[in-house]
Amino acid sequence: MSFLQVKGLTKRFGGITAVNDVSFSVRRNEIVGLIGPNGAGKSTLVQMLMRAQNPDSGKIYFHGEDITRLNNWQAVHRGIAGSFQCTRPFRRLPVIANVMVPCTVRRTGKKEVKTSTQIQAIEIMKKVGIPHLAKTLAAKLSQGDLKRLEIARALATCPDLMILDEPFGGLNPGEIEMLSQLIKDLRAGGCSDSPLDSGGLSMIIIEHKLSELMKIVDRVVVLCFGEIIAEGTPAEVTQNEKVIEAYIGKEGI
Amino acid sequence: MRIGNITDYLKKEIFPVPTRVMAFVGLAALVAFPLIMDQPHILRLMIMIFIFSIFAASWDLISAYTGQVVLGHALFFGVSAYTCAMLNTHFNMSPVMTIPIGAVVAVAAGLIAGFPALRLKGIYLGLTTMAMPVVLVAVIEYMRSYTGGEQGIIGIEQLATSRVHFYYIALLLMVVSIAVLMKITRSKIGLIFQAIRDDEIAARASGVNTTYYKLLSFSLSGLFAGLAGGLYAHFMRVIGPSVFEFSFSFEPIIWTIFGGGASIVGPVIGVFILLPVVEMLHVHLGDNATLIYYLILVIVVVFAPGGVLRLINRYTEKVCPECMTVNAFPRRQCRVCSAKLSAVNGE
Ligand SMILES: Nc1ncnc2c1ncn2[C@@H]1O[C@H](COP(=O)(O)OP(=O)(O)OP(=O)(O)O)[C@@H](O)[C@H]1O
Ligand SMILES: [Mg+2]
Repeated sequence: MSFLQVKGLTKRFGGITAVNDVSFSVRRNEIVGLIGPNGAGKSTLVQMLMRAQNPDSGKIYFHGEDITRLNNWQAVHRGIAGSFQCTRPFRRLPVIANVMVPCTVRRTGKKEVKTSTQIQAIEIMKKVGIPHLAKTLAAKLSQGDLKRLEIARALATCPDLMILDEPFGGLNPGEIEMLSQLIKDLRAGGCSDSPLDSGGLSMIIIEHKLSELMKIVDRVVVLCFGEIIAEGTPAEVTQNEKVIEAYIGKEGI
Repeated sequence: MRIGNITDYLKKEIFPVPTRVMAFVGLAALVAFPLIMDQPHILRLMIMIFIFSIFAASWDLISAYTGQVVLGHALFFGVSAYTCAMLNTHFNMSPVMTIPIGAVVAVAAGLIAGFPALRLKGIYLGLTTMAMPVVLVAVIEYMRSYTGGEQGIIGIEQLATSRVHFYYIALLLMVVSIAVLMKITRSKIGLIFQAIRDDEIAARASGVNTTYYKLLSFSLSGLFAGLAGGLYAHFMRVIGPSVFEFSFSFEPIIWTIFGGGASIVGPVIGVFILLPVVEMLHVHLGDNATLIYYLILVIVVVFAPGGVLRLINRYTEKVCPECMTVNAFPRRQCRVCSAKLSAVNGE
């Protein structure tokens, strides 16, 4: 039984087929990079996985369960969490309250240690590197901090699969370095008080900053005009003729 | 021991914070008020203030806290008022029974009104909710044999034997309602309501069952608006379709904006100031009262966009940047964690 399995997913917007008959799977503890040119359908695809958008056809299986028709919040409780490409903070709440929201509603496992949501939120903010911003209103954050808040909030749901849509957008090289390290740590350790026994978590990361992305992913899926044109290890994909032509360009990454 | 705890609490949590001292003194004054003032029309005004405070705070919960634009709040108030009136006059049910039943019916109305909110947002939801009381007026007209049609219902039983008695009942119910609403807004539920207000999609992506929480907010808001409506019916002893008028839906909005939204206390302050102001304006200015009233509102909204409460807070207290404790304005150091407080208010 596969961890995440996507079969023939299709999504149309009027005349545009944003995602066209896409099938792929993600294994437990795997980090998959999702790349492709602008408008390739990457965000649309992951929004469907998060259950924030409905596919026109196709199926999504998570832990063997058909989740194609679930709500967004139900998917979160099954263990899929995602961040939005355009950050969506709770603007009139301080950062800590933003992170506490998923903590208050998250599924509780047998193993969960009873700590207050406040303490849980602080732990997560520390992991992501924004504890000093706890009392700042989310509306006042910089783009880089918003990205990190978005990740903190996704992490606070205690996911098994975390989907990040351009997490490096608006971050400076130092911050990217930090976030890359965090992603690697998360894969190794997962959410510290995760109700699941596995420990580590899987990730799907959409990113245009390929050189940084390739350092942290196990496998890359390349999307172009809504279809998968290549799939493989970072090395395989960067040498793939079709990918070079459609996206990377001759000069490489 | 008990007494010791209370004085300890007063010393630690009430006296160091000016606004809490004000609330404390204000409450004491309200308790003592009927002892020194027995003019019936003043007591009547005070009772109205208590009833409408509950009503205004219930709008604050659904709209300012949860972000669901309700422009037909009279629905909950009126539905409960009519339920009480009909149960009392047709079935001789005592007010002790009718008021809770009226509030429950208002909860049901809240759930029905909440349904469009699962699909609609902002002004579209506002217009839908605005239409609901209008529908109710038609229903009342249609079922005139039960509802009295345009004439309304007269001869509703008083909840209390004397006006002073009613005063204390209304005061108690207001204090309890406000306390419960504040407790709710400061709980996890309140946090989720605010998350839904700020970004519903993000709330859902955080695992919030937004359908459930939106309907919860509508029911709670309906409950308290219904309580207010029931008290109103049993105080006025006569009600008519006018309880579904637009003005009844807009007043809570005005009170909340004037006092300061998303605070529960703000709308209460709004009612305590605006109701007497309206009364005075009418006595002294007659027909010009409405004009002056709206002029005052516009001035306040322009110069104190956060409402009166924000204004009071800004000049009386400071929030510690470290531990979020509320301090009196003149303090330089936090009373709990001793962190330095800036000279100007940080907001
Ligand atoms: N809500 C929508 N309504 C109509 N068209 C949409 C909508 N969302 C996406 N599209 C279209 O679907 C296609 C895929 O968009 P998508 O945002 O998934 O691309 P992307 O790969 O994430 O691009 P980028 O790298 O720029 O983020 C685009 O042509 C876009 O215009
Ligand atoms: Mg995108």
